[in-house]
Amino acid sequence: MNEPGRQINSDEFVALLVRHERRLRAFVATLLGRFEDIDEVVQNAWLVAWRKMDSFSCHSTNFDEEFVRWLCAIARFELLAYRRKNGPGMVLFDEELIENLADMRIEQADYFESRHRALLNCLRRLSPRDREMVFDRYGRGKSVQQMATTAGRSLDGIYKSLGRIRTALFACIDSSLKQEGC
Amino acid sequence: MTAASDDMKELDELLQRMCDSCLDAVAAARLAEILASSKAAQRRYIEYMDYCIGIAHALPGIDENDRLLPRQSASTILPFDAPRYPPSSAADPTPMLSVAVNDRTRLSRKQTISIPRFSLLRSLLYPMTRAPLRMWAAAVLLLCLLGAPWMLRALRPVVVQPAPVESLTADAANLESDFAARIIGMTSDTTWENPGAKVDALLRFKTHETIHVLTGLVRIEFVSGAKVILQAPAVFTPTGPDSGQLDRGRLTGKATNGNFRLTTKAAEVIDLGTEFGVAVDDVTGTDVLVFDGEVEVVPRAAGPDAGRVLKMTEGMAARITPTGSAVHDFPAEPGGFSRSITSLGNRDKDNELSLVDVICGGNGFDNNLAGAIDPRTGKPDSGVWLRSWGAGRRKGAAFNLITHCPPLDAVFIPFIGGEATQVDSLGNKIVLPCFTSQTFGPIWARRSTKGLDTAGEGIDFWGPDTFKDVNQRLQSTRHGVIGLQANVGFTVDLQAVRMRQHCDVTGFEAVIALLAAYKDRQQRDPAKTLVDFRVYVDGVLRTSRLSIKRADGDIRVAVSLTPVDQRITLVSTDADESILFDELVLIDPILMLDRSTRSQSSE
Repeated sequence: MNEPGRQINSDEFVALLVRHERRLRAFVATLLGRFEDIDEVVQNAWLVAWRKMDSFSCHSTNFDEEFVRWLCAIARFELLAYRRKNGPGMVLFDEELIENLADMRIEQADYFESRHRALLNCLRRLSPRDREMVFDRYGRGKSVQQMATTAGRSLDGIYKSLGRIRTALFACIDSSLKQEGC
Repeated sequence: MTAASDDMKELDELLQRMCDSCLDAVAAARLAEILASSKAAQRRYIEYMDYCIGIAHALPGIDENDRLLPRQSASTILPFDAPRYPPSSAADPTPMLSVAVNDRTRLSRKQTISIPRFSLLRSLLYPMTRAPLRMWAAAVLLLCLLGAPWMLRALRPVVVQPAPVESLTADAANLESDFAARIIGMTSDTTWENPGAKVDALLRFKTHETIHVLTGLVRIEFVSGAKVILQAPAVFTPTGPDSGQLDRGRLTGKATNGNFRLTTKAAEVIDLGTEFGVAVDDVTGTDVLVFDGEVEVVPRAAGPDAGRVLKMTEGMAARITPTGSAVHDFPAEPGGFSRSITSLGNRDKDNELSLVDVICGGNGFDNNLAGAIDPRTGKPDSGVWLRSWGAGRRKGAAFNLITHCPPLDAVFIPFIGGEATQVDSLGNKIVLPCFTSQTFGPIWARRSTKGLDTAGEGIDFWGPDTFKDVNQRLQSTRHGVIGLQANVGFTVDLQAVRMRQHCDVTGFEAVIALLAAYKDRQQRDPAKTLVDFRVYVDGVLRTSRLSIKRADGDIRVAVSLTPVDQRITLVSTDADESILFDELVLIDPILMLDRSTRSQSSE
């Protein structure tokens, strides 16, 4: 008979949700194939998780990782339900691809988390101007049109700048991981 | 160029367009096709999604109206506003609660009905939780003021047959503890009958240590979890981990677990899981009012009601006279009982998040008075709570994520010998040059409490004689101090702070000092009592003060923070061969907040 695992109370639940919100959002975005509607799926997953909080029980020493896996399993079902409810057109991929992507995310979680840590460090190395630009686009959510108008530049120029910064950041991430031996 | 590399190049272009939200239906179908054909493509795709989400998550959301990746969305805010009673579901067990219903015509008869516990309440309360807390608090207060006096006069308690008080089970009584209760809050106008009286460093009280309050309100928590508010002038004595004696004044009690017992000269009040008020007066006796739940009252003096057990439920009131009579016709005044307090002022609008409060288990603005965390477990230290010696000596490296307090991310005891120690939930690791993987006591924090000096004689739970100096320093602090014995550290989640406070975090500030008491101990070589202090941000060293000795006095430490910084780690290590006399304190450690980002987002 299995030993009873460690459970969580509501305060711990909230703390864990906050801590791992990014991972859940990234997981949902990956399966959804678009950035719109992430909130709806994430919100549903959280509500289901809240209701099923009593059923979560951790049997390993890596409490946080097990919680994230549990949360992602709920999100996966919620996404499939969302796809069935709204039609396949609202989700970019078929169910087989969704399953494959979900499995890869979970199996290679350490690798993707390493990349995220590297990204945070690489963001610091950007020039203030480039950092502001990338934050305007992805953090503050300004449209490329808005950015072009504000900066007095062409749309194409903004796209090229964002592409250049992205290339530089990806190179920085890859380089950081190589140094770590990943 | 191979077909595979062509596909990857095309994939990168498609992913760039996806990140820029300009992927049309044809391109989307092509993306799905490439992903379905290659694991490498799937991995690249996930890397891109992480990139977009990761950047969006790396700084606080500002513009509420036009965002590609909304961050302060309903789903983002939900954890902090998460209702205690969300809508029930099939998976949600609904235990039954027995509720006593009485009417004036059948006082001797007790009817019980069963209603589903929480499920209906949850459904009703769920939308309410969307409203500002203060609004609901004001509504509840108004209801209490207007409705409760009538209710209390209208209902009388039920008298039932005598029941042996001793038959009640009291789990708390079985806990082995050096202490019975501790002060967890007080109003700023609180004064004490014996100013300068020494109390325990964490404001704990042993059984039969009496508390004399002249003015103000004092909130006390018992080992059992029961909480009471004392209204001055009051004389109160904890008599056990789940019991106390009120000799003078008013008290409001709350025990979610039930079985809290309060004794007065005239009566014994047994809380069966409720909230109640008790007022003690030498002339009129003991008044008992029940705000919620169920209480049993037993008159103590010889008289007509001696030994009888009065069962009282919500809305009932009774007066037990000094002669042992139970009186029901008297002007009960529920409004005269304080059921909540604002401890030492309200700092909601402050731009300084107190790390003292965070270590005490608060959100940085809760004004908690004292608290401690065991670095070996990451728990609000039950050892500290229950034992004079607190956590004691801790040997061996440890890393623990914190779940009881969202701003706090992790606590740790570093490895020795060049082995990296994980310091935060992101997995960042640092190598620290400490000589031993051991520390002493917990990470503790204390706010200044006017008129309550901390006992500092002898060897206490943290260091020998150190609290004499801690006490002195506390008097001139704004927020208080955190104690970090050498070889222990903690990490704060800056992102959680940003999300919770809806603003940016611009820096960390503190004054550090070594308060070791070796100056009084000639046998100790001052040159060998050194401590190092370091501040890391996301695993990268940002500042350090090395070989700190007592003679250095106060040392100011400041680190500026940017929106991409995720975690800040504060760690002390022994700079010599041992941890003896390595009591480092952080005085007024704060995170500085920029609330202008908040006003931007709400505009």
